[in-house]
Amino acid sequence: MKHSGSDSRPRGVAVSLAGLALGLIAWQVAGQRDPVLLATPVRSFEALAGMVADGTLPAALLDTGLLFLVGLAAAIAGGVGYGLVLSRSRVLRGSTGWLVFALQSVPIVALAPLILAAFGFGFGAKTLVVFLSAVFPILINTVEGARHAPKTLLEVAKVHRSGEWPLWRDVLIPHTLPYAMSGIRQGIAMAFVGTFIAEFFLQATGIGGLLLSASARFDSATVLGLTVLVSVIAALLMGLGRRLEKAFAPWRQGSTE
Amino acid sequence: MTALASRRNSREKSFAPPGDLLGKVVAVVVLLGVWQAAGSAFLPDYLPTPLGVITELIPTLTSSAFLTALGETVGAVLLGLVLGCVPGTAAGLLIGRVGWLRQLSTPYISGLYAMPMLAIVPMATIWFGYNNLTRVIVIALSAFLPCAVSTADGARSLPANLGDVARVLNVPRGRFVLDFVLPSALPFAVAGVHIAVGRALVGAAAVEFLANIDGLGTFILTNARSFAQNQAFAGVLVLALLGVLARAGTERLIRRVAPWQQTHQD
Amino acid sequence: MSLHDRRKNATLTSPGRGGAAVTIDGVTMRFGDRVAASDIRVDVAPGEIVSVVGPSGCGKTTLLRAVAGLLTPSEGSVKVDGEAVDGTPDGVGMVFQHFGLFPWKTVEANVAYPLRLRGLPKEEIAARTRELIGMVGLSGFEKSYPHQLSGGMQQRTGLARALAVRPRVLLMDEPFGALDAQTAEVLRFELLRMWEERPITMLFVTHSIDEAVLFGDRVVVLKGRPGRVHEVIDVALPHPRDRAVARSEAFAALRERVWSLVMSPDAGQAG
Repeated sequence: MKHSGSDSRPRGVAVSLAGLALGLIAWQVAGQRDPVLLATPVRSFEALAGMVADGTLPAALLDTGLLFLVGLAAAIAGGVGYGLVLSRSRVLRGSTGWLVFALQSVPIVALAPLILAAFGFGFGAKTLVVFLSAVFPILINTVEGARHAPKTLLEVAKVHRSGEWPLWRDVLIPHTLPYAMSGIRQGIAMAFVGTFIAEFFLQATGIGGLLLSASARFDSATVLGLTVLVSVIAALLMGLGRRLEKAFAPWRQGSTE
Repeated sequence: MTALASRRNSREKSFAPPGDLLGKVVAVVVLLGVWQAAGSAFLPDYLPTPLGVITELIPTLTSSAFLTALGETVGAVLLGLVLGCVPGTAAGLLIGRVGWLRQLSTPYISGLYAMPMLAIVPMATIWFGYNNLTRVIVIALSAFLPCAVSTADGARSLPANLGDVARVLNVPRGRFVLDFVLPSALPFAVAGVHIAVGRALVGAAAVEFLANIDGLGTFILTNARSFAQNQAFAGVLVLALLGVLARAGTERLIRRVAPWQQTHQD
Repeated sequence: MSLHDRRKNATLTSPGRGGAAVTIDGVTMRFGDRVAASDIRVDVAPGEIVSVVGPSGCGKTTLLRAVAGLLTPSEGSVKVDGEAVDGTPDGVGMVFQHFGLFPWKTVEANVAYPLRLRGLPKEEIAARTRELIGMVGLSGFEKSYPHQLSGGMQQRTGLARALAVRPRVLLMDEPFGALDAQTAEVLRFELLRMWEERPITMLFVTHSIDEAVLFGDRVVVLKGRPGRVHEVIDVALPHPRDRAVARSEAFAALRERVWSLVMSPDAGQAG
């Protein structure tokens, strides 16, 4: 896929960094012209540093992180688990497979007010939002993988009179794992979105809560700083997801290059 | 829900072997039954129920409050999509073909692309206020990024041997873009729109919630707050259906403009 | 070492050639309305190599799968050493056209797979795996993944895995069909050399008429849809089957005969 052409890597990184620096300078200049609407990077950084010093930012990060992790873990357990069940049961797949697709198209944001009304704004309700956001890509990818276990390998297992558990250990799980991992990669991104849905619309806690209250105060320095922070975290999470996806399929690495 | 079938036709078929109608019916009945029972037994007035939604569906969907809200949201989404997708696709083509531009923009594009667009709403409300402008801008930004990223991928993904063909045939630069780059980028561009539509609807609902401007999101929110859960759920259904229909449309479009390509997924 | 000595060496433990007898007795394979093979009868003696050729769609691969216990005959039966096949019998090894290697297992782990399934002690698995890998000439590649190997090396791994069960019967499903011509040629003669050292029963399904004649003590020609046994040809070529045999006039004549049988239009549309 990648047609590497002529861009050499170190030069590319240098240009990227120059682009970032340019953006920062532009931001600083613009911020100095209109300090009310657009805080300068320096002031945004100071705002973040202040929140680190008084402990609000670490506490919020912890809150957000916990919600994200618990919701994601539930989605992985549910998605991979039910995915594997679906892959082995024709009956369940035939009857509930299409429901998965139907439910997947319901936007979770829109459900937030209903979840709030029915289940309140406790940790459980917020976790539910994160879970619902992340579970579908994981589930769907897992089923896709398990359903397309290569026929020859199933024959190999049968010729060697493999039992059911060795069949899972040697064929189904290793084959499905990379599919599940790419589901989990998408799930990580979706869980992050879900975390903000929960913090914005159920209960203003964590980073989402800090963003909302700063926005209500028109504190553009804090909002801008937090927004940049969120985007950095999101990019890191995406990188992590890609790493994970690769790490779990070492036998594929050669073929993807 | 027939639109669903057309949406992910190939994949759904692989999911459901034919002749499982009975199983499907049983699954739906069980799901709806449990939902109805749970709703009316444990959380009456707090949870929408299937029967409640069915009774309220027609009156809700024909109410003027709903129709106004629908018009507001659809209008903003359409406007935002145009304002986001057109420049997004153009930017994607440039980013894909011009090396230094790609390197320059990479940190911004990948930072923003990874970020939940929700998180940008608080900043947007400070800059543009609690109004329709914010909504359109958030939608446009939500649409811009997937269009740019996907089109850039497409513009880069020209198979290497086609590049050789162009060189051997001595194709001039203008013709090269027209005959080689654009056709190979086109399905990617439509795939970008495909993702953009979903994100745009979510972005619209999110801004409406936070900024409290008239639209489907607010319709859902007000009803949910005033114990009209069934009406609220009808709104959710319509929002879901809009997404499904729009994506079915773009999928059909991909097949139309690029019959040689397999359907993309988001 | 002369042919005679070799044969003697290999047969110290068992009288005549090793391996099991395979009896294919009136096997018909049906899939819904479609009949893939009809009333096939083939007896394979212990240590004999029987090649099966025929045009695509004549049911030769289906037949092989029935012997492997992967498919159950709609009519008739398959017996290995007199025992009806129900699931793959013990001591049946199979080599697949597209190798059938686990992409997530190294060469070593692929070869050790059947031994691990049998729950052999670790040391024994390690020792036998090492021996098998040496036998197919892959020493030094134990830790490689299949995608890092050439097609020929992948099929060597597949062969080592099939031999790991010390098979009485080796089922070959177009084993060289996915390889380039040169590699296939090299592997053919290596496999023949291994067989001369330890002759076992082999059922050899192939597209290649050369291969069928080169390997077979007999060649079964399947024809028609559904496939039936059209002709069985005795291949009276000397052992060991080496390059000299492949260049002989007798070989050419036999090849010509099988070719004309496979190509002849008559038994075409029987079903």
